[in-house]
Amino acid sequence: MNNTTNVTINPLPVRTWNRLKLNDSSVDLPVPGIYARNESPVHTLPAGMGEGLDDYFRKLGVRAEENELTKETGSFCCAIRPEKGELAAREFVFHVREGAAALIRIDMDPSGECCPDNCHENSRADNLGKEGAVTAVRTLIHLEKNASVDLIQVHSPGESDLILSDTGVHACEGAEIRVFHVFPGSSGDKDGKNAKIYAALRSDLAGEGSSLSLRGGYRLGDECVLDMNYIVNHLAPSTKSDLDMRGSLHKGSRKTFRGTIDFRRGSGGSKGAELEDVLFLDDDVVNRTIPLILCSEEDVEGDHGAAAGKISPEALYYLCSRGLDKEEAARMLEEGRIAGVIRAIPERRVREDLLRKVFGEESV
Amino acid sequence: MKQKTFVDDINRELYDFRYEEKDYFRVRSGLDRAVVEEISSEKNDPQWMHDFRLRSLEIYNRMPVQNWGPSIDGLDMDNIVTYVRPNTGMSAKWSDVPDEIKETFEKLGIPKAERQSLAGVGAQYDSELVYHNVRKEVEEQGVIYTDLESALHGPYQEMIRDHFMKLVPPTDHKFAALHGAVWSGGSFVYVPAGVKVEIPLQSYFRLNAKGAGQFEHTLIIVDEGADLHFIEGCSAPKYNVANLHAGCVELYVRKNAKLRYSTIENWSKNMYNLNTKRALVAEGGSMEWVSGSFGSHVSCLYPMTILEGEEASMNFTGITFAGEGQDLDTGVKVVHNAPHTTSSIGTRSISKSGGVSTFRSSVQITARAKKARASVSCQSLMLDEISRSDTIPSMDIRTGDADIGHEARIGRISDEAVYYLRSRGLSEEDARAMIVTGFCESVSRELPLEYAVEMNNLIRLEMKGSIG
Repeated sequence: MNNTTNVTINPLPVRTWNRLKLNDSSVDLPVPGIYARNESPVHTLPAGMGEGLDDYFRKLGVRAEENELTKETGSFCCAIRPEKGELAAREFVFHVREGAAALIRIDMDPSGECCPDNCHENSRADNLGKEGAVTAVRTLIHLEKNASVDLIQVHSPGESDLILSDTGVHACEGAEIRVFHVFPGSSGDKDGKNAKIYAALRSDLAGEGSSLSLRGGYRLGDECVLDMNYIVNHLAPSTKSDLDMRGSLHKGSRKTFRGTIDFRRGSGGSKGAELEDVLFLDDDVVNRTIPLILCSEEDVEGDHGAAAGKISPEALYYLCSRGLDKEEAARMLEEGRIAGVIRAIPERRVREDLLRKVFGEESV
Repeated sequence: MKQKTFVDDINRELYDFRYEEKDYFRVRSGLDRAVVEEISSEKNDPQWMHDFRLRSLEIYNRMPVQNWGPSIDGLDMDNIVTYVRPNTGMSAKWSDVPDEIKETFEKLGIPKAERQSLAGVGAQYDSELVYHNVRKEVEEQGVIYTDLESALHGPYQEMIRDHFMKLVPPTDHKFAALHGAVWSGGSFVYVPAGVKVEIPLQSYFRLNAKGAGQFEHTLIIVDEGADLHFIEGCSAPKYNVANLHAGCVELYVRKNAKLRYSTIENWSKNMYNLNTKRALVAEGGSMEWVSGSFGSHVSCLYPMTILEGEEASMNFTGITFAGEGQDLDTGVKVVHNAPHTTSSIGTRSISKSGGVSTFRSSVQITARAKKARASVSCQSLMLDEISRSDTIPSMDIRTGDADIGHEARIGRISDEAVYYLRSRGLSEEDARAMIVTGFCESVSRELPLEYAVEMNNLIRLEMKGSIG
C-alpha cells in the first residue's frame, strides 16, 4: 500500500471569502516508495498550480527534461499514458530561442491510442492502490525575443483517472504564445467516468509587446471534475492576453474556472480579455467561476464576460428546423465548443489528427 | 504625451467639524467581559440580550480575523471605546436636542430634509439615538419607526427577539460577533401588511467621539404587500486615531413586499467601516439596494440578499470612490434559493491618488433555484497610475436550469470620447468632467433628488486638464 499526500493546488492570486471554497483546491496524490527525494529546485519558472505541486514533484524526485527549440528544430510532441494503477510524473522545460516558431504538443491520454509522434515513456510505479491512472505534467516554456509557440495540450482521462496539467510561461519582448487546451472528456457512457482534471497556467508577459492567447474547450459528464486556474501577469508595456474558455456540463459534472488578468504597474498600453461560455445539458451539474481583473496601471483595458445557461430556445428551434432532433442539436452545440478550439490550431497535421481522434475520421 | 485627468478628492469640509465631549459617559477602551457587562447594564438589557452579548463576546474572542481583503492591522481594539453616550436622552423634538448636537445635524441638513422630504427621521450621535420622529400620518398607518432599545422593552419585544441577529448571527464573522457583544443604538421599523409608505424614512449616524466605535443595529420588517424606502446616511469628523464602525442591518421582506435601502456613506478617512447588511426576501418580494461608498480608511461592505421565496428579486446599484489613503473593498452577495428568482447587480468604481478600490461579489444559485436569472456588471475607472482597482466576482451555480451573465470592464477615460466631445465644442476639462459624471449617473439617478445632489456634492468632480 502506498502513502498519499494532500496537496493544495490552483491558488487564487488574491483570496476571497473562504466559505466559497474557491481560494484553492486540494487533491490526494500518491507518493510511491520507489521515488527518491529530490531536494533541488525542480524548475526555474513559476507555474499556475502553485507551490503545492513543487513540493510534490520534489517528493517524487522528478527531474526536468530540458528541450531547446530553435528555428531549425521547432517542434515537440509527447503522449503520456500510464496504465491503470500507475503514476506518470513528468516535467518538461522548453527554451524557445530568439525568433523561433515552435509547436509543442502534449497528450495526457491514459486511455488513448498511440499518436504519430509518440514518445511514450512513463515514470512507473506499480500498485498505487488506486483504481485509475495518475498523470502529473508540468510544462515550462521560456520564450526569447520574438519567439512564438503553439502549445497544444490534450487531456483525455479514462474512468477514475486523475490528471494534473500545470504550465508556466515566461515571454520576452515580442514573444507570442498561443495555447490550445482541449478537454474532450467522455462521450456518452464510455470512458472518463469519475475522472478528475486539474489544469493550470501562469504566464508572465515580461517583454514589451509579448502576448498570450488561450483557447479552451471542454465536455464534461459522468461525474467528472475539471478544476482550472489561469493567470496572466502583464508586466511590460503593450502586452496582450486573451482567454477564451467554452464548454458543456452534463451528468453530475463539476467545473471550476479561475481566471486572472493582472495588470502590474508599468504595463501601460496593455489589453486583457477573458470570455467564458458554459452550456448546461443536465440539471445536476455544478458550475463555479471566479474571473479576476487586478489593476495597478491606469492606461490599460481589461474585460471579462461570462455566460452560463441552457441551450437557448432560439438556437434549438433553428437547429430543429434544419432537421435535427433535440439530442442531436445539443450534441452539435456541445461538440462545437471543442471543435472550435481544435479547428483554430494553425498546424494542419495536428489539427486533423486531433479532430480524427476526438470526433472520428469523418470529422476531418 | 497623453493628457492626464485631474479629479479632486471628495470635499469633506462639510463633514469635518467636531465638538468636545461634555459630561459624556464612556466605557473604558478595550473589550472584555466587564466592558460588555457595563454596556448591558447601562442599556438596561433584558436578560436574554445580556446573555446574547456575552455569548457573542465568547465567539468574538475565539474567531480569527479574516485572511482575505484589506489589511485591518491599524485597528487595535484595545484603543477603541465601544460605548459613548452623549449627555442627553432621546427626543421627538429638535428643540429638545442639546445645541451642539442639534447644530451638527443642522449642518448635515437633516432637519431640513425631514421637513421637506422624509416620513420620519432617526438621528444617532455616537452610541445613542438623540432624535427620533415619524410623521403623524405615517404613524396612523400603523408604521412603527423607533429606536431599537425602546422596541426591546415595548410591545414589539417578542418580534425583536425573534429576528435580532438571526439573519446575521454572531458566528458570521469576527466583527458580527463584536457587534453582537457591544451593539448600541439603531432603529426598528415595522411596516404592516399592505401599507405603502409614500416618502422615505431616514436614519443618520454621526460618530463624533475620538477613538470610538459605533455599533448601531437596524432591523426592518416589511410585511406582506407593503412598500418602504429607507435611507441611511453616516459621517464623522477626521481624527488621527482609528475609529470603528461595525453596524449591522437586518432586513425582512415578506411576501410581495418591496424595500429599497439607500446608503450614502461618507465616513472620515480614519474610519474602519466593517459593516454587515443582509436581507431575506420572501415569495414575490423585491429588494433594492442603492449604495454609495465614499468615505472611510478601510471599508469591508458587501450587502447580502437571500432570495428565499419563488419569484423574489434583488437589484443592486452601487458606486465606490477611493481616493488617497483609502482601501475600499465593497461589493454584493446574493443567494438564489427558490425557483424563478432574479437578481441584477450594477456597480461603478473610481480609484485615484493612490486609492484602492476592490469590487467583490458572490452569486450563488442553489439546486432549488430552477429558472433563476442573474446578471452582474461592474465597471472600474482608473484616474492615475498610482491607484489600484481589483475586480473579484464569483459565481457558484448548482443547477443546470438557470441563466447567468457577467461582465466586467476596467479602463481609463477614453481618448476617443474626449476627442468627440471636444469636436462638439466642449473644453477638455468639461469633456472629461462629463464623462466621469456620466460614469456615476447610473447610481445618482436611483437616488431621490436631494440625495443625488448630495452625492454630486460629495464627488465634486472638479476637472482640470493638465499635461502630465
